[in-house]
Amino acid sequence: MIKLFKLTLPLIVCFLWIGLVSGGGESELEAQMSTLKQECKEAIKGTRYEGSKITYYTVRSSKQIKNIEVYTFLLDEYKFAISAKKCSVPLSIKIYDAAPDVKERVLIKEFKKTQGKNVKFSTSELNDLYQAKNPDADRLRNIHIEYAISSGKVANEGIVLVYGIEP
Amino acid sequence: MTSQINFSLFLYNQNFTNQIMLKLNYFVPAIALSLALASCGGGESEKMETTDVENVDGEDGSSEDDYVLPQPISLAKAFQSAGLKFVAEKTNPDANADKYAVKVDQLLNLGVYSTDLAYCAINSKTQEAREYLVVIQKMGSKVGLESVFSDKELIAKFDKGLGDAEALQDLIYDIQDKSDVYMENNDLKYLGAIQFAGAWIEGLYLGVDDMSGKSEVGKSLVEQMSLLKNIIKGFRSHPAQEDARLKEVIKLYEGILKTYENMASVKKVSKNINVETPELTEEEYQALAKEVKMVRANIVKPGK
Repeated sequence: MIKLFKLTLPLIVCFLWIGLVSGGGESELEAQMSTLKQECKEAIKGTRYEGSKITYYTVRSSKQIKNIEVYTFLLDEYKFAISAKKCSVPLSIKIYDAAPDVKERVLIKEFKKTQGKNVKFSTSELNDLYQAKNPDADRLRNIHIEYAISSGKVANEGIVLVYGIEP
Repeated sequence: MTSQINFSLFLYNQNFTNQIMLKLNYFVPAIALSLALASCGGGESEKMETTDVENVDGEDGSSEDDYVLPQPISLAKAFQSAGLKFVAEKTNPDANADKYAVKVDQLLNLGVYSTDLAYCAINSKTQEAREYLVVIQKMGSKVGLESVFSDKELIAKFDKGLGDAEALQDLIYDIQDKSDVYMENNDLKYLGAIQFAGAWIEGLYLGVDDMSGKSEVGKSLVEQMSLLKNIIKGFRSHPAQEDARLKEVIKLYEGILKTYENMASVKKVSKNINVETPELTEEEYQALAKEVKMVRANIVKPGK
Protein backbone atom coordinates (compact mmCIF):
# COMPACT_ATOMS: atom_id res chain seq x y z
CA MET A 1 0.00 0.00 0.00
CA ILE A 2 2.85 2.36 0.94
CA LYS A 3 4.55 1.45 -2.33
CA LEU A 4 1.36 2.26 -4.17
CA PHE A 5 1.21 5.76 -2.65
CA LYS A 6 4.90 6.29 -3.29
CA LEU A 7 4.22 5.58 -6.95
CA THR A 8 1.08 7.67 -7.30
CA LEU A 9 1.93 10.63 -5.05
CA PRO A 10 4.10 12.41 -7.64
CA LEU A 11 1.26 11.98 -10.14
CA ILE A 12 -1.27 13.48 -7.72
CA VAL A 13 1.00 16.43 -6.96
CA CYS A 14 1.65 16.90 -10.67
CA PHE A 15 -2.05 16.96 -11.60
CA LEU A 16 -2.98 19.24 -8.74
CA TRP A 17 -0.19 21.62 -9.75
CA ILE A 18 -1.45 21.66 -13.35
CA GLY A 19 -4.92 22.37 -12.00
CA LEU A 20 -3.75 25.26 -9.88
CA VAL A 21 -1.73 26.78 -12.70
CA SER A 22 -4.61 26.46 -15.20
CA GLY A 23 -7.13 27.88 -12.71
CA GLY A 24 -4.88 30.90 -12.38
CA GLY A 25 -5.75 31.81 -15.99
CA GLU A 26 -9.19 32.88 -14.89
CA SER A 27 -7.98 35.14 -12.11
CA GLU A 28 -5.41 36.54 -14.53
CA LEU A 29 -8.22 37.43 -16.95
CA GLU A 30 -10.19 39.01 -14.11
CA ALA A 31 -7.16 41.07 -13.12
CA GLN A 32 -6.74 42.22 -16.73
CA MET A 33 -10.41 43.17 -16.91
CA SER A 34 -10.06 45.12 -13.69
CA THR A 35 -7.15 47.07 -15.18
CA LEU A 36 -9.16 47.77 -18.35
CA LYS A 37 -12.09 48.91 -16.24
CA GLN A 38 -9.82 51.41 -14.56
CA GLU A 39 -8.64 52.54 -18.02
CA CYS A 40 -12.27 53.08 -19.05
CA LYS A 41 -12.92 55.12 -15.91
CA GLU A 42 -9.94 57.29 -16.81
CA ALA A 43 -11.31 57.72 -20.33
CA ILE A 44 -14.51 59.28 -18.96
CA LYS A 45 -12.85 61.08 -16.06
CA GLY A 46 -14.90 63.93 -14.65
CA THR A 47 -18.17 62.02 -14.86
CA ARG A 48 -20.06 60.51 -11.94
CA TYR A 49 -19.92 56.70 -12.01
CA GLU A 50 -23.27 55.28 -13.10
CA GLY A 51 -22.48 51.67 -13.91
CA SER A 52 -20.28 49.06 -15.52
CA LYS A 53 -20.42 45.59 -16.97
CA ILE A 54 -17.67 43.11 -17.69
CA THR A 55 -18.85 40.62 -20.29
CA TYR A 56 -16.86 37.38 -20.21
CA TYR A 57 -17.07 35.00 -23.14
CA THR A 58 -15.26 32.10 -24.75
CA VAL A 59 -14.32 32.55 -28.41
CA ARG A 60 -15.66 29.57 -30.32
CA SER A 61 -16.25 28.24 -33.81
CA SER A 62 -19.46 30.23 -34.32
CA LYS A 63 -20.32 33.92 -34.07
CA GLN A 64 -21.94 35.09 -30.83
CA ILE A 65 -23.98 38.12 -29.81
CA LYS A 66 -24.06 39.78 -26.39
CA ASN A 67 -26.67 42.46 -25.62
CA ILE A 68 -26.52 44.92 -22.75
CA GLU A 69 -29.39 47.23 -21.86
CA VAL A 70 -28.33 50.54 -20.32
CA TYR A 71 -30.67 53.21 -18.92
CA THR A 72 -30.25 56.92 -19.62
CA PHE A 73 -33.19 58.49 -17.76
CA LEU A 74 -31.50 61.78 -16.92
CA LEU A 75 -31.31 64.74 -19.27
CA ASP A 76 -27.62 65.07 -18.38
CA GLU A 77 -24.85 63.87 -20.68
CA TYR A 78 -23.92 60.19 -20.28
CA LYS A 79 -20.43 59.20 -21.39
CA PHE A 80 -19.52 55.62 -22.27
CA ALA A 81 -16.17 53.87 -22.58
CA ILE A 82 -15.79 50.33 -23.88
CA SER A 83 -12.53 48.43 -23.84
CA ALA A 84 -12.12 45.56 -26.30
CA LYS A 85 -8.38 45.31 -25.71
CA LYS A 86 -8.77 41.77 -24.46
CA CYS A 87 -10.78 40.74 -27.53
CA SER A 88 -8.75 38.89 -30.18
CA VAL A 89 -11.39 38.25 -32.85
CA PRO A 90 -13.25 40.74 -35.08
CA LEU A 91 -15.74 42.63 -32.94
CA SER A 92 -18.38 45.12 -33.96
CA ILE A 93 -20.28 47.19 -31.42
CA LYS A 94 -23.77 48.30 -32.41
CA ILE A 95 -26.03 50.64 -30.47
CA TYR A 96 -29.78 50.25 -30.87
CA ASP A 97 -32.83 52.01 -29.45
CA ALA A 98 -34.58 48.77 -28.46
CA ALA A 99 -34.09 45.14 -27.53
CA PRO A 100 -33.43 42.44 -30.17
CA ASP A 101 -37.03 41.20 -30.01
CA VAL A 102 -38.35 44.57 -31.25
CA LYS A 103 -38.46 44.12 -35.03
CA GLU A 104 -38.48 47.81 -35.98
CA ARG A 105 -35.58 48.79 -33.72
CA VAL A 106 -33.20 51.45 -35.02
CA LEU A 107 -29.45 51.06 -35.32
CA ILE A 108 -28.11 54.35 -33.95
CA LYS A 109 -24.36 53.87 -34.25
CA GLU A 110 -21.89 51.15 -35.15
CA PHE A 111 -18.20 50.73 -34.38
CA LYS A 112 -16.51 48.16 -36.64
CA LYS A 113 -13.33 46.16 -36.01
CA THR A 114 -12.97 47.33 -32.43
CA GLN A 115 -11.00 44.30 -31.21
CA GLY A 116 -7.87 45.38 -29.34
CA LYS A 117 -9.16 48.96 -29.03
CA ASN A 118 -11.05 51.29 -26.71
CA VAL A 119 -14.09 53.22 -27.92
CA LYS A 120 -15.95 56.19 -26.47
CA PHE A 121 -19.32 57.78 -27.16
CA SER A 122 -21.90 59.95 -25.42
CA THR A 123 -25.66 60.46 -25.32
CA SER A 124 -25.47 63.86 -27.03
CA GLU A 125 -24.07 62.31 -30.22
CA LEU A 126 -26.41 59.32 -29.91
CA ASN A 127 -29.43 61.61 -29.44
CA ASP A 128 -28.44 63.65 -32.52
CA LEU A 129 -28.05 60.53 -34.63
CA TYR A 130 -31.30 59.10 -33.29
CA GLN A 131 -33.30 62.23 -33.97
CA ALA A 132 -31.92 62.31 -37.51
CA LYS A 133 -33.26 58.78 -38.05
CA ASN A 134 -36.42 59.20 -35.99
CA PRO A 135 -37.58 62.87 -36.03
CA ASP A 136 -40.51 62.15 -33.65
CA ALA A 137 -38.19 61.07 -30.82
CA ASP A 138 -36.96 63.65 -28.31
CA ARG A 139 -34.16 61.69 -26.60
CA LEU A 140 -33.05 58.20 -25.62
CA ARG A 141 -34.25 56.75 -22.28
CA ASN A 142 -32.29 53.56 -22.74
CA ILE A 143 -29.92 52.04 -25.24
CA HIS A 144 -29.09 48.48 -26.21
CA ILE A 145 -25.42 47.81 -26.82
CA GLU A 146 -24.69 44.76 -28.94
CA TYR A 147 -21.33 43.04 -29.14
CA ALA A 148 -21.05 40.91 -32.28
CA ILE A 149 -18.13 38.60 -31.53
CA SER A 150 -16.75 36.67 -34.49
CA SER A 151 -15.65 33.06 -34.41
CA GLY A 152 -12.04 32.13 -33.81
CA LYS A 153 -9.59 30.03 -31.89
CA VAL A 154 -10.95 29.02 -28.47
CA ALA A 155 -9.93 31.54 -25.81
CA ASN A 156 -11.45 33.09 -22.68
CA GLU A 157 -11.80 36.84 -23.12
CA GLY A 158 -13.83 39.83 -21.95
CA ILE A 159 -15.15 43.26 -22.89
CA VAL A 160 -15.50 46.11 -20.39
CA LEU A 161 -18.19 48.78 -20.40
CA VAL A 162 -18.12 51.74 -18.00
CA TYR A 163 -20.36 54.79 -18.11
CA GLY A 164 -20.86 57.93 -16.11
CA ILE A 165 -22.86 61.15 -16.02
CA GLU A 166 -21.52 64.67 -16.54
CA PRO A 167 -22.20 66.61 -13.32
CA MET B 1 -6.09 -30.53 3.16
CA THR B 2 -5.79 -27.66 5.58
CA SER B 3 -2.57 -26.51 3.96
CA GLN B 4 -4.27 -26.64 0.55
CA ILE B 5 -7.08 -24.48 1.83
CA ASN B 6 -4.59 -22.07 3.41
CA PHE B 7 -2.63 -21.96 0.17
CA SER B 8 -5.84 -21.31 -1.80
CA LEU B 9 -6.77 -18.56 0.63
CA PHE B 10 -3.27 -17.13 0.30
CA LEU B 11 -3.56 -17.16 -3.49
CA TYR B 12 -7.01 -15.62 -3.28
CA ASN B 13 -5.80 -12.91 -0.92
CA GLN B 14 -2.76 -12.25 -3.06
CA ASN B 15 -4.93 -12.03 -6.15
CA PHE B 16 -7.43 -9.76 -4.36
CA THR B 17 -4.67 -7.43 -3.16
CA ASN B 18 -3.21 -7.26 -6.66
CA GLN B 19 -6.61 -6.40 -8.07
CA ILE B 20 -7.07 -3.64 -5.49
CA MET B 21 -3.57 -2.34 -6.25
CA LEU B 22 -4.36 -2.39 -9.95
CA LYS B 23 -7.63 -0.55 -9.43
CA LEU B 24 -6.00 2.03 -7.17
CA ASN B 25 -3.21 2.53 -9.70
CA TYR B 26 -5.84 3.81 -12.12
CA PHE B 27 -8.26 5.21 -9.57
CA VAL B 28 -5.95 7.61 -7.70
CA PRO B 29 -4.58 9.34 -10.81
CA ALA B 30 -8.15 9.45 -12.15
CA ILE B 31 -9.25 11.36 -9.04
CA ALA B 32 -6.25 13.66 -9.36
CA LEU B 33 -7.06 14.24 -13.04
CA SER B 34 -10.69 14.99 -12.19
CA LEU B 35 -9.59 17.48 -9.54
CA ALA B 36 -7.21 19.11 -11.99
CA LEU B 37 -9.88 19.36 -14.69
CA ALA B 38 -12.40 20.70 -12.21
CA SER B 39 -10.03 23.45 -11.16
CA CYS B 40 -9.39 24.25 -14.85
CA GLY B 41 -12.97 24.70 -15.98
CA GLY B 42 -15.31 25.01 -13.03
CA GLY B 43 -14.48 28.54 -12.11
CA GLU B 44 -15.00 29.82 -15.63
CA SER B 45 -18.43 28.33 -16.05
CA GLU B 46 -19.42 29.75 -12.68
CA LYS B 47 -18.19 33.16 -13.80
CA MET B 48 -20.18 32.90 -17.02
CA GLU B 49 -23.34 32.10 -15.04
CA THR B 50 -23.05 35.20 -12.93
CA THR B 51 -22.61 37.53 -15.90
CA ASP B 52 -25.03 36.04 -18.41
CA VAL B 53 -28.65 36.27 -17.53
CA GLU B 54 -30.38 34.67 -20.48
CA ASN B 55 -29.21 32.34 -23.17
CA VAL B 56 -31.06 32.16 -26.47
CA ASP B 57 -29.72 30.26 -29.41
CA GLY B 58 -29.66 32.23 -32.61
CA GLU B 59 -29.37 31.15 -36.23
CA ASP B 60 -25.72 32.02 -36.63
CA GLY B 61 -24.47 31.37 -33.13
CA SER B 62 -25.93 32.45 -29.82
CA SER B 63 -27.35 35.59 -28.24
CA GLU B 64 -27.34 36.58 -24.58
CA ASP B 65 -29.10 39.48 -22.90
CA ASP B 66 -27.74 41.43 -19.97
CA TYR B 67 -28.31 44.84 -18.41
CA VAL B 68 -26.83 47.50 -16.15
CA LEU B 69 -29.12 49.05 -13.55
CA PRO B 70 -28.76 52.77 -12.82
CA GLN B 71 -27.80 54.26 -9.46
CA PRO B 72 -30.61 55.00 -6.98
CA ILE B 73 -29.56 58.66 -6.89
CA SER B 74 -30.07 58.87 -10.68
CA LEU B 75 -33.64 57.62 -10.27
CA ALA B 76 -34.26 60.20 -7.54
CA LYS B 77 -32.78 62.91 -9.76
CA ALA B 78 -35.01 61.88 -12.66
CA PHE B 79 -38.03 62.42 -10.41
CA GLN B 80 -36.64 65.72 -9.18
CA SER B 81 -36.14 66.92 -12.77
CA ALA B 82 -39.76 66.00 -13.40
CA GLY B 83 -40.79 68.29 -10.53
CA LEU B 84 -41.15 65.95 -7.55
CA LYS B 85 -41.45 67.91 -4.30
CA PHE B 86 -39.74 66.86 -1.06
CA VAL B 87 -42.03 65.42 1.63
CA ALA B 88 -40.07 64.53 4.77
CA GLU B 89 -42.55 62.09 6.28
CA LYS B 90 -42.50 59.80 3.27
CA THR B 91 -39.03 58.33 3.83
CA ASN B 92 -38.46 55.19 5.90
CA PRO B 93 -37.64 56.23 9.52
CA ASP B 94 -34.00 55.47 10.39
CA ALA B 95 -35.20 53.91 13.67
CA ASN B 96 -36.50 50.94 11.65
CA ALA B 97 -32.99 49.96 10.54
CA ASP B 98 -32.31 47.69 13.52
CA LYS B 99 -35.60 45.85 13.14
CA TYR B 100 -34.87 43.94 9.93
CA ALA B 101 -33.71 40.48 10.92
CA VAL B 102 -33.93 38.64 7.59
CA LYS B 103 -31.05 39.08 5.12
CA VAL B 104 -33.33 39.76 2.13
CA ASP B 105 -35.12 42.51 4.07
CA GLN B 106 -31.81 43.99 5.19
CA LEU B 107 -30.68 44.17 1.55
CA LEU B 108 -33.98 45.57 0.31
CA ASN B 109 -33.98 48.22 3.03
CA LEU B 110 -30.37 49.10 2.32
CA GLY B 111 -31.74 50.01 -1.10
CA VAL B 112 -34.72 51.86 0.40
CA TYR B 113 -32.37 53.93 2.58
CA SER B 114 -30.05 54.56 -0.40
CA THR B 115 -32.94 56.25 -2.19
CA ASP B 116 -33.92 58.14 0.97
CA LEU B 117 -30.33 59.37 1.31
CA ALA B 118 -30.30 60.49 -2.32
CA TYR B 119 -33.78 62.07 -2.01
CA CYS B 120 -32.64 64.14 0.99
CA ALA B 121 -29.26 65.05 -0.53
CA ILE B 122 -30.64 66.31 -3.86
CA ASN B 123 -33.24 68.34 -1.98
CA SER B 124 -30.51 69.91 0.21
CA LYS B 125 -31.82 68.26 3.40
CA THR B 126 -28.30 67.64 4.58
CA GLN B 127 -29.00 66.78 8.22
CA GLU B 128 -31.53 64.12 7.20
CA ALA B 129 -29.11 62.88 4.53
CA ARG B 130 -26.38 62.55 7.16
CA GLU B 131 -28.67 60.42 9.34
CA TYR B 132 -29.42 58.16 6.39
CA LEU B 133 -25.72 57.81 5.61
CA VAL B 134 -25.14 56.55 9.17
CA VAL B 135 -28.03 54.08 8.71
CA ILE B 136 -26.62 52.90 5.38
CA GLN B 137 -23.22 52.29 6.97
CA LYS B 138 -24.88 50.18 9.64
CA MET B 139 -27.06 48.24 7.17
CA GLY B 140 -24.18 47.79 4.73
CA SER B 141 -22.08 46.17 7.44
CA LYS B 142 -24.95 43.83 8.32
CA VAL B 143 -25.27 42.48 4.77
CA GLY B 144 -21.56 41.80 4.33
CA LEU B 145 -20.44 45.01 2.67
CA GLU B 146 -18.59 46.33 5.71
CA SER B 147 -15.39 47.00 3.78
CA VAL B 148 -17.33 49.52 1.66
CA PHE B 149 -19.40 51.10 4.38
CA SER B 150 -17.19 50.84 7.45
CA ASP B 151 -14.96 53.64 6.16
CA LYS B 152 -14.96 56.11 9.06
CA GLU B 153 -13.80 58.79 6.67
CA LEU B 154 -17.21 58.70 4.94
CA ILE B 155 -18.95 60.78 7.59
CA ALA B 156 -15.97 63.14 7.74
CA LYS B 157 -16.13 63.57 3.94
CA PHE B 158 -19.87 64.07 4.18
CA ASP B 159 -19.50 66.73 6.87
CA LYS B 160 -16.90 68.47 4.76
CA GLY B 161 -19.40 68.69 1.91
CA LEU B 162 -22.31 69.86 4.08
CA GLY B 163 -24.07 72.75 2.42
CA ASP B 164 -22.65 71.82 -0.97
CA ALA B 165 -25.30 69.70 -2.71
CA GLU B 166 -22.99 68.89 -5.62
CA ALA B 167 -20.23 67.61 -3.30
CA LEU B 168 -22.75 65.41 -1.49
CA GLN B 169 -23.94 63.96 -4.79
CA ASP B 170 -20.32 63.28 -5.77
CA LEU B 171 -19.88 61.40 -2.51
CA ILE B 172 -23.03 59.32 -3.01
CA TYR B 173 -21.96 58.34 -6.55
CA ASP B 174 -18.53 57.52 -5.16
CA ILE B 175 -20.00 55.20 -2.51
CA GLN B 176 -21.98 53.38 -5.21
CA ASP B 177 -18.83 53.00 -7.30
CA LYS B 178 -16.93 51.44 -4.37
CA SER B 179 -19.88 49.20 -3.59
CA ASP B 180 -20.05 47.98 -7.22
CA VAL B 181 -16.30 47.26 -7.31
CA TYR B 182 -16.49 45.29 -4.07
CA MET B 183 -19.47 43.23 -5.20
CA GLU B 184 -17.91 42.51 -8.57
CA ASN B 185 -14.57 41.47 -7.10
CA ASN B 186 -16.28 39.16 -4.65
CA ASP B 187 -18.93 37.67 -6.95
CA LEU B 188 -21.69 39.37 -4.95
CA LYS B 189 -23.48 41.16 -7.79
CA TYR B 190 -26.73 39.45 -6.81
CA LEU B 191 -26.69 41.44 -3.55
CA GLY B 192 -26.65 44.64 -5.59
CA ALA B 193 -29.65 43.42 -7.59
CA ILE B 194 -31.74 43.03 -4.42
CA GLN B 195 -30.51 46.31 -3.00
CA PHE B 196 -31.55 48.00 -6.23
CA ALA B 197 -35.03 46.45 -6.04
CA GLY B 198 -35.50 48.19 -2.66
CA ALA B 199 -34.15 51.48 -4.03
CA TRP B 200 -36.50 51.30 -7.03
CA ILE B 201 -39.68 50.66 -5.01
CA GLU B 202 -38.80 53.50 -2.63
CA GLY B 203 -38.31 55.86 -5.58
CA LEU B 204 -41.70 54.95 -7.03
CA TYR B 205 -43.30 55.31 -3.60
CA LEU B 206 -41.85 58.80 -3.16
CA GLY B 207 -43.22 59.80 -6.55
CA VAL B 208 -46.49 57.96 -6.56
CA ASP B 209 -48.62 60.53 -4.69
CA ASP B 210 -47.23 63.41 -6.68
CA MET B 211 -48.46 62.15 -9.99
CA SER B 212 -51.62 62.60 -11.91
CA GLY B 213 -52.71 61.36 -15.30
CA LYS B 214 -50.36 63.46 -17.39
CA SER B 215 -47.89 64.97 -14.91
CA GLU B 216 -44.17 64.90 -15.65
CA VAL B 217 -43.57 62.90 -12.46
CA GLY B 218 -46.13 60.40 -13.69
CA LYS B 219 -44.32 60.10 -17.03
CA SER B 220 -41.00 59.62 -15.24
CA LEU B 221 -42.57 56.90 -13.11
CA VAL B 222 -43.85 55.08 -16.18
CA GLU B 223 -40.37 55.31 -17.76
CA GLN B 224 -38.91 53.73 -14.65
CA MET B 225 -41.35 50.84 -14.96
CA SER B 226 -39.08 49.66 -17.80
CA LEU B 227 -36.59 48.60 -15.10
CA LEU B 228 -38.94 46.10 -13.52
CA LYS B 229 -38.27 43.14 -15.84
CA ASN B 230 -34.55 43.42 -15.18
CA ILE B 231 -35.15 43.82 -11.43
CA ILE B 232 -36.99 40.49 -11.49
CA LYS B 233 -34.10 38.95 -13.46
CA GLY B 234 -31.81 40.31 -10.73
CA PHE B 235 -33.86 38.54 -8.06
CA ARG B 236 -33.58 35.34 -10.08
CA SER B 237 -29.78 35.63 -10.07
CA HIS B 238 -29.69 35.20 -6.28
CA PRO B 239 -28.33 31.76 -5.36
CA ALA B 240 -30.87 31.20 -2.55
CA GLN B 241 -33.91 30.72 -4.79
CA GLU B 242 -35.54 28.46 -2.20
CA ASP B 243 -35.49 31.20 0.46
CA ALA B 244 -39.10 31.70 1.53
CA ARG B 245 -38.84 35.47 1.92
CA LEU B 246 -37.11 35.89 -1.43
CA LYS B 247 -39.86 33.87 -3.12
CA GLU B 248 -42.48 36.07 -1.45
CA VAL B 249 -40.75 39.28 -2.55
CA ILE B 250 -40.36 38.05 -6.15
CA LYS B 251 -44.11 37.39 -6.24
CA LEU B 252 -44.79 40.94 -5.04
CA TYR B 253 -42.66 42.46 -7.80
CA GLU B 254 -44.16 40.13 -10.39
CA GLY B 255 -47.57 41.33 -9.19
CA ILE B 256 -46.66 44.93 -10.03
CA LEU B 257 -45.41 43.85 -13.46
CA LYS B 258 -48.57 41.88 -14.15
CA THR B 259 -50.82 44.79 -13.10
CA TYR B 260 -48.81 47.17 -15.29
CA GLU B 261 -48.58 44.96 -18.36
CA ASN B 262 -52.29 44.23 -18.30
CA MET B 263 -53.20 47.92 -18.52
CA ALA B 264 -54.85 48.85 -21.82
CA SER B 265 -52.65 51.97 -22.18
CA VAL B 266 -49.53 49.82 -21.86
CA LYS B 267 -50.71 47.09 -24.20
CA LYS B 268 -51.48 49.47 -27.04
CA VAL B 269 -48.00 51.05 -27.29
CA SER B 270 -44.67 49.74 -28.58
CA LYS B 271 -42.28 47.98 -26.20
CA ASN B 272 -39.73 50.61 -27.17
CA ILE B 273 -39.85 53.42 -24.56
CA ASN B 274 -37.79 55.65 -26.86
CA VAL B 275 -40.62 55.67 -29.38
CA GLU B 276 -43.57 55.93 -27.03
CA THR B 277 -44.12 55.95 -23.27
CA PRO B 278 -47.54 54.68 -22.19
CA GLU B 279 -49.89 57.41 -20.99
CA LEU B 280 -51.85 55.87 -18.15
CA THR B 281 -55.44 56.84 -17.39
CA GLU B 282 -56.23 58.08 -13.86
CA GLU B 283 -57.77 54.74 -13.05
CA GLU B 284 -54.66 52.89 -14.22
CA TYR B 285 -52.42 55.25 -12.23
CA GLN B 286 -54.42 54.57 -9.11
CA ALA B 287 -54.20 50.81 -9.62
CA LEU B 288 -50.42 51.06 -10.07
CA ALA B 289 -50.08 53.40 -7.07
CA LYS B 290 -52.04 50.97 -4.90
CA GLU B 291 -49.76 48.11 -5.90
CA VAL B 292 -46.58 50.15 -5.34
CA LYS B 293 -47.72 51.26 -1.87
CA MET B 294 -48.66 47.73 -0.90
CA VAL B 295 -45.26 46.31 -1.92
CA ARG B 296 -43.31 49.17 -0.33
CA ALA B 297 -45.28 48.76 2.94
CA ASN B 298 -44.44 45.05 2.94
CA ILE B 299 -40.72 45.77 2.47
CA VAL B 300 -40.26 48.53 5.06
CA LYS B 301 -42.45 46.86 7.69
CA PRO B 302 -40.12 46.09 10.60
CA GLY B 303 -39.92 42.84 12.52
CA LYS B 304 -40.32 40.31 9.72
